Amino acid sequence: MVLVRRSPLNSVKSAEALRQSVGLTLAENEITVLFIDAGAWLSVPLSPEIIAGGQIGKHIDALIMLQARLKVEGESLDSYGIDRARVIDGIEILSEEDVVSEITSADAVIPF
Amino acid sequence: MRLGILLTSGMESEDARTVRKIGEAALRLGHEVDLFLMDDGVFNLDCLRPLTEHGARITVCAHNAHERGVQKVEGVLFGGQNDWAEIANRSERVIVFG
Repeated sequence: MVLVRRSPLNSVKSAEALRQSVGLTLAENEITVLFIDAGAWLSVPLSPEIIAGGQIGKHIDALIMLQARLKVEGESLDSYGIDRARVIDGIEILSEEDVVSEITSADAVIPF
Repeated sequence: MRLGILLTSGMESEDARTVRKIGEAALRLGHEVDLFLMDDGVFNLDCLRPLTEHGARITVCAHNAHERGVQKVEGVLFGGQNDWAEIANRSERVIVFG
């Protein structure tokens, strides 16, 4: 599991997290990418590359195509005032309790 | 045990020191250590390279190294995310710093 906590707009770390997630699929790893806290912004259409924030759209498209599981915490969306209807198709919205279940069932958790 | 360690933070952080100490201790205990450096973690290559003298394998993300002007050195693989994928897959424990 790759856990993304940072906003894509202040750091390239989020884009790097997505790039790593695509790479992790290459060794037959089952990948879950979970967006929480400010990382919830990655679940809606954004263009941080305009401000040198790193590419995210192409990595999300690739992960969906590679059948990685993409999830976002609903409470994080709400806390940042992000309209749940804007969440990209293919990204599942989870409750806090489901997030804990996902984390505890992962073989490894890689936070960014 | 096979430990896979990912370092993404640079020299402004204590993380590299922690990685070096954990790596040294793990090797003394007979564990295998695979270290992957990416993002600003590539700046710590010189600090961590001595671990290879004790059997650790170090891989650097060549993309991030190129971005930051970090030069290739002997004994370290300048690879990519597919290498980290293999490390994560074969490691029994994965530790992330950064």
